[in-house]
Amino acid sequence: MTRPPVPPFTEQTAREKVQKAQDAWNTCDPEKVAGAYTEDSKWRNRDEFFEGREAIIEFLTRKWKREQDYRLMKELWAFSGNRISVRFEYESRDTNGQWWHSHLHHPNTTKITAVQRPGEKPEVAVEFAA
Amino acid sequence: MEQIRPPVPPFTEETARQKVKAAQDGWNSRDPEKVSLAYTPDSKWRNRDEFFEGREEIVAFLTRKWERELDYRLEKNLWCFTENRIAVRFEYESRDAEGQWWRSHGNELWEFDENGLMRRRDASINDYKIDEMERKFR
Repeated sequence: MTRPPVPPFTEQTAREKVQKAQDAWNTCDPEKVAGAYTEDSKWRNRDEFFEGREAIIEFLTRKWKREQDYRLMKELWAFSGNRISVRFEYESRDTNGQWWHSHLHHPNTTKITAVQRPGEKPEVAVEFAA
Repeated sequence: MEQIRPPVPPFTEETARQKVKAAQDGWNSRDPEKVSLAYTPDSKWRNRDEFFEGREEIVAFLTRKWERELDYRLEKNLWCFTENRIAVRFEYESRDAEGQWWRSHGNELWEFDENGLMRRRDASINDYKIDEMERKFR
């Protein structure tokens, strides 16, 4: 299965990958998001380690049950060969109505009030299959 | 006085690796003053949920960090680089005052000025408990 653009990335195609990831994650649709990863894709998400689309879907389903009104922004940081690094930030609301501003992983999360919802960003390292 | 800290950008695969190795060695020294010299005087940091800038705050932060994280041992690996930016994955292990061992995984985004000093560092880090037997870095 091909999912263009493919590596090696240029500035333009790296930006396309980041934009596509941002758009996909903002759908909050686990099945759809999982389609961008290899069948055996290896993930570390904060202190959780897992691999494969089934585990990705399970993880994302849990994630978006907890993180409501999720809104994400990803920004290209650097790229070389088949690798891209991005900064991202997202905001979400928990089931008690508390708003959160998250930089990459949850422990890097800060509570905010709805009126404070700003616009900053963090990172993640992403590797693409050739 | 202008400080130069080679290698300087734009980075190649070789010089990016040199920067990563220099940072690994610097942090493993656990010497806050020494580590702070690799950063611009007004370097901007995000470390987990803390935001601060400048060498004085870097030294204060690192001092607090290594008072808490005992027997700290770190490994950094280059992820990718473009021009004056480098992305790194790292892992470290440390022991707390109660003797509990921890492993920490992180990603860092670095941006350097023209003299090879880091002017921006953005780090996301996650920790979990490990048994002493599970330590990778000794």
